[in-house]
Amino acid sequence: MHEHLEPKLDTLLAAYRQACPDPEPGADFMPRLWSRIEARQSIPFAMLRLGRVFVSASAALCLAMVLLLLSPVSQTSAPSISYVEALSISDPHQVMAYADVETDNGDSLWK
Amino acid sequence: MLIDFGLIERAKEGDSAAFNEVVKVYRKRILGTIARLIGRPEDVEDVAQEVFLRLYYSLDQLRAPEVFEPWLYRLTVNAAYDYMRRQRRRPESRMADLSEQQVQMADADAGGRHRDEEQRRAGVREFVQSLLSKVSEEDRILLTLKEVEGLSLKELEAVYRVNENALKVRLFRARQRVLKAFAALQDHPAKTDESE
Repeated sequence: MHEHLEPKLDTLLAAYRQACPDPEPGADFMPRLWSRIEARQSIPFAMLRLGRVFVSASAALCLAMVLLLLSPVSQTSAPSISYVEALSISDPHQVMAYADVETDNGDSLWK
Repeated sequence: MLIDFGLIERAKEGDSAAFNEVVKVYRKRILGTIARLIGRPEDVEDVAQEVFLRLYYSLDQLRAPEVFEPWLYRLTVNAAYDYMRRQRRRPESRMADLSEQQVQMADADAGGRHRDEEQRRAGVREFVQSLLSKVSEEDRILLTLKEVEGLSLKELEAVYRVNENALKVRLFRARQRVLKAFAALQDHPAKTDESE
């Protein structure tokens, strides 16, 4: 269809190759390239560091929660005595005075 | 190959000095290829830097040093293609339409008649870049690599990772489309865009 243009196109493309020689790189080509490499490197590194901090904080939080959950259990695990009994243990005379309880031999303290 | 395989292996293992050497050896050639592909001197260095940046971060994926050059060409083609697609989205940055005078100048140059050397070169550059802007980025890149850069079919096979027959078909079609655009430019130099 456009066969007559084929040789013309070949000549034109060859002339284009001649008209576009390889350009010389700028003086700052390598420093700019390295700064771009380092800039891209710094993003994953920052994210990695942030990730490590997050993992450590999560682990510490989990440990704290486990301790928190375990400690009330240990306190409530042996409520074998009542409140009144506990009071009597801590101060037996005071409790007995209010309750007007008898001593072991059956005498009232208020006699 | 412009460099020995040992240098590529060292760069692959993370040796910065070896990578520096690889860039220094290939940068001029890559700059030239990009200049002829994108046709915008002010952006050539940026695209070339993108190529070497991608090289740095993907060098560990290189199977064997023997395939380094087609692989580098592949990175170049991809970076140029990305650039062209970005440019296409900016209508204000399209190349200016050709005037009849420019077409006549390029036509005369193709026939070997020219007056001033630099003026002739500028005319050829502008004409070919305008001509190639009438076809797709894929056609433009393929034809430039084959007809302007002078890559063989074997080399193109390695770059595009397709077999020779598929490549020949693609090349033929790309050439036909460029010829059609060439004919249209010759018939109506300043009205090509309006007719599209």
